[in-house]
Amino acid sequence: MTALTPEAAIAIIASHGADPARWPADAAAPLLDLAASDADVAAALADARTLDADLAGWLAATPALAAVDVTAITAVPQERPAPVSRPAFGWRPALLAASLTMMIATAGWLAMPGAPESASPIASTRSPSAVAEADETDLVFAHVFTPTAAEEDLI
Amino acid sequence: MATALMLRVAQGDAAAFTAMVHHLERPAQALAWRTLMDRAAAEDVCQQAFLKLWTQGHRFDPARGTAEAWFRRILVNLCLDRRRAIRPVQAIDDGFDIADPAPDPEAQAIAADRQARVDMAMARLNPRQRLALSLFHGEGLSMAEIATRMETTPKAIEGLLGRARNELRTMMNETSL
Repeated sequence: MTALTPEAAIAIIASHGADPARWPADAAAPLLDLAASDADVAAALADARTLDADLAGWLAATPALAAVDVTAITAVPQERPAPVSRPAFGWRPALLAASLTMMIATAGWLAMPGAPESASPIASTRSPSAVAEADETDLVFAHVFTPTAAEEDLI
Repeated sequence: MATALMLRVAQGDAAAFTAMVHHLERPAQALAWRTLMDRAAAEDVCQQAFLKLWTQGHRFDPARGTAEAWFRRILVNLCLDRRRAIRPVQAIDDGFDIADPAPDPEAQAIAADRQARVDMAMARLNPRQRLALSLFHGEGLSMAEIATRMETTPKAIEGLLGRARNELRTMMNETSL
C-alpha cells in the first residue's frame, strides 16, 4: 500500500469525520500515525472532533413527532400484484393450424392451371379503375418523353 | 425479525404492520426530521412511508435486502421528493430552548448557544447534504450503503459529506460572529 499523504489524510477526515472507526479500514492506522507527526493533519483532526460533537448533539435533539396513524393506514386496501394477462393456452395451436391452412390453400390455388397469368397475387387484386389510372399515367409519360419528328432530327 | 414481519404485512396482517410501525417509527421520524427540519413535513413523510409499506407490501423482496433497508429507501425517496416543496432556509428558534443537563448556568448557556448555531446552520444546508450526514453519523451507514439509498456512487457521497461538513463549519463560524 502507498504511504498516506497529509492531503489524503485531511480529505478522509473532511468527509468521514474524526472517528477512526468510520475511516476506511486500511487508512486508520497510517492516518493516526500521520496525525502524530503532521501539524496540519492534527489540526484537521481536532477541528473534525469539534464538528462531530456538534453533529452528535444535533442528532440527539430530534423532537418528538406525532405518532403514525396506524388505523388510517390499515383502512386503506392493499395493492395486489396485477395478474399477468396471457391468451388462453388452447389458442396458440389453433392459431398455428389456421396459419398453416391458409398458407397451403394459397399455395395450392397459385399452382392451379386456371390461375391468373400474373404471378403476383397483388397485381391480380388491382381494381379496374386502378388499372385504368396506371394506363393513363403511362400515356402521359410517353407523350412527354417521346421525341417529336423535329426533336428526332435535332438528336 | 422485521423481514419476517414484513412478509406477514404483505399478506394483509394488520397486527404485523402495527409491530413494524413500533419497530421503525422512531428511527423514521428522526431521519425525516433531520432531513427536512420541518415538523409537519417530517410527520407527513413518515405517514406516507408507512402507507406505502402497507399498500405496496407485495413489492418487498427479501432476496434483495432487509425490510429495514427497503423501508428506509422508501423514506429517503419521499424526503428527497419533499425537499423541493419546503423552504431551503428556515430559522430554528426552538434551538435556544434546548435543555442541557449541565448544572453550571454559564456552561449551559454556552452549550445552548452552540446547539442553536448548529441548528441554524443545519437548516441552511441542502437537504441532500443533511440526509447524507444523518445517514452517516446518525444511522451509522457506510458510504456504499448511503450511495445505494441515494442512488449514487460512494465516491460522490464522500464528496457530498466533505462539502456538507465544510459548509456546516463555515456557517457555524458565520453565526458566531
